[in-house]
This record gives sequence, structure tokens and C-alpha cells, in this order.
Amino acid sequence: MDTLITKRLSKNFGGIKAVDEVSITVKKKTITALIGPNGSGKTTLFNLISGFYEPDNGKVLFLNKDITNLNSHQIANQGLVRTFQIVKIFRNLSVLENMLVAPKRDYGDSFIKTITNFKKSIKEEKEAYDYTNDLLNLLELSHLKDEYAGNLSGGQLKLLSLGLALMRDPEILLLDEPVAGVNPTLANKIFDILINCRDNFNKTFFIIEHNMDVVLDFSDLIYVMNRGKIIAEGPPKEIFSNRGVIDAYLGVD
Amino acid sequence: MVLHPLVFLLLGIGTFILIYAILALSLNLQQGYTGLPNFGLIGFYGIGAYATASMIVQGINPIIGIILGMIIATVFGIAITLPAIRIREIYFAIITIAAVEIIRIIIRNEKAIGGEYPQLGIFNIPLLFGLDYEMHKIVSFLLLMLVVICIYLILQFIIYSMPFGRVLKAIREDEDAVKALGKDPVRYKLIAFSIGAIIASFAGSMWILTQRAITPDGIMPLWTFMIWIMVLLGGMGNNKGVIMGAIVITGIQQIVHELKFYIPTELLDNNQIISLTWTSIGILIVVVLIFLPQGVIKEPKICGNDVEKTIKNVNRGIKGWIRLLLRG
Ligand SMILES: Nc1ncnc2c1ncn2[C@@H]1O[C@H](COP(=O)(O)OP(=O)(O)OP(=O)(O)O)[C@@H](O)[C@H]1O
Ligand SMILES: [Mg+2]
Repeated sequence: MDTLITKRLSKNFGGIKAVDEVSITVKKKTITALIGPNGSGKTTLFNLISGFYEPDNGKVLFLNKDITNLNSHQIANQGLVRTFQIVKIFRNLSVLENMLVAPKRDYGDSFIKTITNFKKSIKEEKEAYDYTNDLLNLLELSHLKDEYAGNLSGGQLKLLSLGLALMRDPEILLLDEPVAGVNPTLANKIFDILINCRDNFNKTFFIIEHNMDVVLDFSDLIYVMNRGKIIAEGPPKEIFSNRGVIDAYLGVD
Repeated sequence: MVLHPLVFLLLGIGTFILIYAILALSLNLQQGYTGLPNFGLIGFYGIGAYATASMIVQGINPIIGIILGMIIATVFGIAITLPAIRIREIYFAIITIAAVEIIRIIIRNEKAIGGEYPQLGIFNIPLLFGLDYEMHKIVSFLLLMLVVICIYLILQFIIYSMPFGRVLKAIREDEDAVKALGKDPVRYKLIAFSIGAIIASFAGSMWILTQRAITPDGIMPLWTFMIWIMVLLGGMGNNKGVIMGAIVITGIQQIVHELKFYIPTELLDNNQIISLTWTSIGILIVVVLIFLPQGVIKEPKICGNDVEKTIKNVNRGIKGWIRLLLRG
């Protein structure tokens, strides 16, 4: 089954075709990678899919539903969650509070429902708290639980933002360079976690990544972007022997 | 009963401080927690004050006026923030100043709202519960004390024990991140702004009931800036801090106001004394912001312990609830 499909998605900035008729398919239960040189439009594509930018043309389908015109928070609520290349977290809150902002809550998300069902909202809080502790352990951030998020290192911030996204238990996770600045051992561990989520919880991942070793090792399928266009698609081995891809990276026209 | 003049004076200063504390708490919810720079705060106070005053003047129960004020403040608040809430903070600030100046100008000129002589305002509001003047002063003070405590506890509860409060702080920190986590910042902002507007309007109502008069000059933008100074001084995002800010700033003002009766006019005339107050408040705030940019008391950091306490106390009956309410 196809979790995410884009159909001829396009976005121009002034004269620049940042995303140019991009049609991709991310299959359920896969780790699909998106690679390409700097400025090729990868992040813009993520912004279009997740509702942060409005496309000029084209469609986004998520679980066979058209989500092209939904707001970013509505899309996230459907189960499509993304992280940002330049980490966006809540700097003046503790790591713990950052994590507790994230989950979807039946009661806690509504002011009125929290007051009228306070005990239930605290039950949700307890579940969220327990889950937070587990995730922080997994991401090796437990010792920083009570630290201001703003005091974390670059790599730790990447991990925290991944943690926030995982708190929502999304159907598909769009990760924009999730392990940039993370030490290789932990980076490998993180991808092991993602693989575990894929295999045991049927989760789907769409990941922008510059580290080719990681992409080669962990992805099921790779899309290559250059100048706003998808120029190649296929399993890792095939992609890395593709002439066009090598040229794109070396800057040959 | 004859109160000692000093007690009388302190009660007067106390009521001023408490009214300002309510306004500072309101601004702290909007700006301190949610990052909504409301530079029109005093207008919402004005709405409450005028709604209550005009009901009383017409012989209608003041409670109707209080509720009316809250409703108008909420509707007005939503009307000006809805178009402005998505734009950058600086524009939001400008829009709130402008909108509230409109209110002041209408009040100043419209007999239906501003009273028989709108330039002069509404006065001659009767004493509370038909009490004599001194008892009125005492009851006013106690009543306001109760109000401030209640509002403080409610706001602390929102911040400490409700996930809602956490999202407000998150919106202040990074709106995009909040959206990416499936929460609609606009909804949260509207609710936070409305609660703030209701509190500010209530401050205006309480002003009328306790001080018994209002003039259009009472809702000059200057007073909004005063409340900003209290919040900046005491500590943005800290409800205790902003109450302290209200005590210090209003205290300085009121004490200087009293001093002028004792300082010979040859030395310093009235205007010079007032200028001196503003200058000293100005210097104070600059010094505080240089050495303590987050104000005297920082926003509390909520840690694992706090969350565990919430979870535990909720199942401990009344005692647990009291603990939940009284912390922070
Ligand atoms: N908001 C924007 N306004 C104007 N131009 C933009 C905007 N966002 C992206 N662009 C432009 O679109 C093009 C694609 O940028 P994008 O960030 O999508 O690239 P990328 O593939 O993510 O690059 P990198 O690997 O460096 O992160 C670039 O030329 C960029 O300058
Ligand atoms: Mg990018």
C-alpha cells in the first residue's frame, strides 16, 4: 500500500523552480530516502507535503486522502509528522516539557475538556510521562531531562526533535537530516530504532539525508533530486551506480 | 469607626497595587506565557470599568455590568486579534495600541457610554454594599486581595497542571514546531488572549467598585506601558514576579504621590515630582534589564518532579488538590 503520494507537485520562488513537478510514492513500511545536492529542493518538498508551504500546482495524497489543502496542524493530526532541518524546539522549556507538548491528547488538547475531565487529563499526562521517559532513554537524553532544551548541543537537539515527533506516534515520519551532527554510533543506533519501528510497528519513514553511508545501509528506496526535479529512483545499489546521480553530485549538467 | 490616617493611606495604596497586580497577571498570561504582545491592555480594563460604571449609574446590578464587560472585552479582543494573530508580533503590538485608542476616543466623546460629560468620565459611584467610607476602604482592600489570590491560583493551575498552559509557552517559543505537532496555535492564542481580556476587564470592574470613578485619561496608553514595566521588572512568565513588579512600581508611584504633600514647592513643584517618579522608574527598569534580563524572578522551569507531583496529588483527594493549587 502507498502511504504517501505526490502528484506533479510544484513550487516556485520568484524565478526559481524549487520543486518542479515532483511525483513520488512512499510505500508503507519502508524507509525511503531523499537525497540531492544542496539547494535541490528537498526541504521545500517536505514543506509542501506537510502543509507549511502551499504548492503552486499538484497534489499530495496521504493514505489515499487528498491533504493538499489542509493546514500543517491538521496534516500532523492525521498522522503525518515532520521534523525540521534547522531544529525547531522550545528552548526555554525543559527537555521533559518539550516532550510533553507533543502527544495528541483527547482531553489535554482542549481547555474545556481538561477542566471538566481533569482526572482523565492527568491520566493522559501519566501515560505521556511514562512514554517520555522511555523515549528519552532510547535517545540517550535521560540525564538531560530537567535541562533547558536551549542548552543542548546540536546533535542532542536533533535527537530531541526526533523524540518530539516520535511522541506523536505518527503513521509516517518525514525527517529532514535527522542525524546531522549526531555521533556515528548513536546515528546507527537511531536508524536501528527506525528499522525496529518499521518492522514491528508498521511505520513508514521518508528521510532526507546527506550521509551516504547511512542511506546505503538503511534505506529501502532512494529518490534523487536535482534542481527541483526527481532525476532518479531505485534501491540503494542501483542509485549509487547511476551516472546521472554521480553527475548531479559533481555538478555536471 | 475612625481609622488611623496611616492605615487609611496604606489601604489606599494597597488597593491600587492589587488592581495593578490583576492587570499584570493578565499581561503575563498574554505576553509572558503566550508571547502575545498586547499593548492595548488598558483598553480591556476600560471596557470593564465603563460597562460596570454605566450599569451602576442606570441602577442596574453591577454584576450585570461586570459580565457585560467581560463579554464585550472577549468579543473585542477576538475581533482585533483574529486578523492580527497570524502576523508578526510587532504588527500585533501596533494593532492593539491602535484599536484601544479607538475605544478611548469613543468613550471620550460618546455620552451613551462615557456618561453625561464624557470628557470628565463617570463618577459618584455609590460605596460598596452601602457601607460608610472607611468600611468601604477596608472591604475594598479585602475583596481585591481575594480576587488577586483567586486569579493567581487559576493562572498557576493553568501553567502547572494543564497541558494547555504548556502549549502556550511552546507557542511563544516556536509556533512552527507547535503546528508540526498537530496543535493549532491560533486556537490556543485566541483562548489565552480572551482569558487575559476577561481578567483585564474584571480589573476595570473592580476599579469602579472600589475607586468609584473613571475618566477617559484612566485608559491612556501610558498605563499599559506601566503594566509592561511591572511585568518586565518582576519577571516575564512568573506570576509571583509580576505581582512583585506591581507592588514595587505602584508603591514607588504612590509613595512619591504622598511625598509631594511634604516637599516644599520651592524645592520641587508638582510636575517636577511626577517627572522624578517616571525618571526613577525608567532608571530602575533599565538597570534591572541589564543585570537581570529575565526580570527579578525567572520563569519557573518545570521538571520531572513537578510532573510527578501533579500525577500523584490528583489521586489524593482534597489534600492533593490543595497541594496542586498552592504550588509554584
Ligand atoms: N522560503 C523560501 N523563499 C525563497 N526561496 C526559497 C525558500 N525556501 C527555499 N528556497 C529556495 O529553493 C531552493 C531549494 O531549497 P531547499 O531548502 O528546498 O533545498 P535543500 O535541497 O533542502 O538543500 P539543503 O541540502 O542545503 O538543505 C533553493 O534555491 C532555495 O534558495
Ligand atoms: Mg534542506
